[in-house]
Amino acid sequence: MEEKKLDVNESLELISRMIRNTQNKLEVNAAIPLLVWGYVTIAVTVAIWILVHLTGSNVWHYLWFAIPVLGLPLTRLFNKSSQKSVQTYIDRVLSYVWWVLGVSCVLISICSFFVPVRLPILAIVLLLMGSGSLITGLVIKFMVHAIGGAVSVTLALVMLLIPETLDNQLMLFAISFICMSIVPGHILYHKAKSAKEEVENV
Amino acid sequence: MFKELDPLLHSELRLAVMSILVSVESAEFGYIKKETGATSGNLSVQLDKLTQAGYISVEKGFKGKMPCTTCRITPKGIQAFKNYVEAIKTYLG
Repeated sequence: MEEKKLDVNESLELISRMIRNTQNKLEVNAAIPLLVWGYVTIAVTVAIWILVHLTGSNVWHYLWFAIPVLGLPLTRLFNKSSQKSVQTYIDRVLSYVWWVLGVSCVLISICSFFVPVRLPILAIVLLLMGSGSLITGLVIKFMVHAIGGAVSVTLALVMLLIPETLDNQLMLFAISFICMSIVPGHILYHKAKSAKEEVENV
Repeated sequence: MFKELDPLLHSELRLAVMSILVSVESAEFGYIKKETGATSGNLSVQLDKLTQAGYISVEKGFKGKMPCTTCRITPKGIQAFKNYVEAIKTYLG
């Protein structure tokens, strides 16, 4: 591209092409938070299930706090090698949405130790995370993520309605994270990788 | 009545840069270079012209240990871009 003068039609075509290319940009690292948080959550859920069953002690539930402790630095670590070269308004809005939801999950988990009633904490966390995925999926028009979010919100409501046992609570929690994080994360990663390879081969 | 087209924007590379920046919050030099296919030297010259006109702001920093130049469109740039699109419409009738 040079400093050449354009006619009116060329100008319009150029404007729409540049805006379209930027809006359709899929970056591989958009999938990283989904995969990191998804796998960390599943790993912690499985670890808690095994440890509680083996020892019979509920003290292992403190391990839930390992999710943000591991998730935050791992997301930073993976994003460091592939930081986004372009920042859109949607990126900023979604980043605020996830910070608010994430902090709310941590705060409600801490509060659950101090309130006199027993809170259905896994269902509440799932409701918040599912809503975040639903919003994100709808905003970025990535329906697999939106459907995963809707499934998680539904399963959170199911968790409130069925008799509460450790097995069914943890199983529904893990299934939700597979639906809203891991499956969309892998699909997004492969889509973005293919798009990148296509551009490089042109 | 035809409106006059802003000569600063009525150039292929500068218009491409402004079209990218109007649709994002910020973009790095490398991203703009890749999207426009311009050479680093030419792109730097055109970014300087847009900066001097107050249409964009350029921030030099570091990404890890690598130098990184980030560009943003300014309110004056957004207005100039809007005026340019309005002016084009008069030519299309």
